[in-house]
Amino acid sequence: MKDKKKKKNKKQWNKDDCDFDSAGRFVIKNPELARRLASAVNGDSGLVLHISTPANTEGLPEHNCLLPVIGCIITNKRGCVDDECGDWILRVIAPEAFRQGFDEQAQLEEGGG
Amino acid sequence: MKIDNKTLNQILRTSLSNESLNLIVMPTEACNFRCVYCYEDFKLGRMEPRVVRGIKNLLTNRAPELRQLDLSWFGGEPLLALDVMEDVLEHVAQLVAAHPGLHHESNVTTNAWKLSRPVFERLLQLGVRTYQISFDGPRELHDKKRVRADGAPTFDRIWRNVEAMRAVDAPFHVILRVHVDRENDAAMPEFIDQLQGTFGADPRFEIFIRQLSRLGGPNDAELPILVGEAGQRRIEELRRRLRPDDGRSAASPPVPSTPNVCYAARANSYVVRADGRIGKCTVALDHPANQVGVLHENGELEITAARMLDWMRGLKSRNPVELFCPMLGLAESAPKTAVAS
Repeated sequence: MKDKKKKKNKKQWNKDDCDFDSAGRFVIKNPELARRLASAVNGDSGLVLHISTPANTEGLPEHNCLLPVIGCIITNKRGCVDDECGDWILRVIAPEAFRQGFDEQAQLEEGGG
Repeated sequence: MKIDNKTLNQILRTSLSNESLNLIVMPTEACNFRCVYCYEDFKLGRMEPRVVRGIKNLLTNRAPELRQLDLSWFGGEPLLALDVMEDVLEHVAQLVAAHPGLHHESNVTTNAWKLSRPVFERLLQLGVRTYQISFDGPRELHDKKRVRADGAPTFDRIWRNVEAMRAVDAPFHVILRVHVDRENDAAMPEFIDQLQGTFGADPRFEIFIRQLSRLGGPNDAELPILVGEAGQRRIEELRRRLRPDDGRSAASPPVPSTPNVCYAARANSYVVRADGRIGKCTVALDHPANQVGVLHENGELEITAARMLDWMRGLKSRNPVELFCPMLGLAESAPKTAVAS
């Protein structure tokens, strides 16, 4: 019974996960949903969503946080994560760029160049 | 029909992206026609100036991040409020000039009564490239259904105006929508030939044949609509008449079926009513489910997310019917033909 309920909910938007801002933009409040949507278009560029609060940005570089696991970049409108406008853009990038970003991130973490 | 992942990804990209915005604007909800099958009540007249300012402010706010702006002019009869269209479109032209990444396209659904050549040329100049104009059959049958508010006939003037469009040397697209029902069915082959003969050689004109639908108007019960599979077969038969030399359908491989996604199922599409109310669907205009928000004079949209998400449920469920006509299941007056289609 529990499983059935879970399956049904998967087919509907969770009303706590999304909203529309005062400019009529679709806003995703739940980073996990953003990740899932990004995964759905994995490898395709062109989907630009807005995330109302920063996804987990702790420990990520200040500019163009690369989230290689989901193959996307999260920035604010100005392409910078340390602005406090709270208006975040999730931009899906091509797999090549994503892999390159991942490598660069790994090199940074390892202290390499 | 099951939607595959690739197709779904395409649908998600176009339906959720905040780089696209589709506004279906009703510059007036008044109409000079009283088509017998119409579902609108014409209670609201011209768009209020505060709403026009609201649209312009909204577009100013969104322009820096937008890549694609689609304006669909609807009514009522939108050309009764040509000045409202001009006001907004001139503003859009300024925004496009200021934001080179922004691309704008406008289309209009008009009865063409006021679409004289000067008006047409003015609209082209403002970026209105696509025109949907309806006929209900040849003159004697059209003039029984598609009548002016005072009962006067309309066929001759519409035909003249559409013919005059051909002479304009510019890129545009005219969809000549032809409604078929049991009353005009027999006369349709000849009328389609007449349309083909007049406009068929001009690729800017497209003839679109479909059955008359019951969309919630007061005369719905009396409308002699085509029904069932026989009706659908008849429409297909008439459509084949448009391309008699096209024998490819049987021999060529099947065309991949891409689900038709209604604008109302998209997150980035809104109907702007003349009084500033925001809806999703242009049919069940006053249904409670279709009241999803309000546009304020400063351009701010106050949207009820829960209602919007109901319209967008097909994007989550992947159900083609919910994508094709999300009104089904939300509003009682959903077009019965939607399911059959």
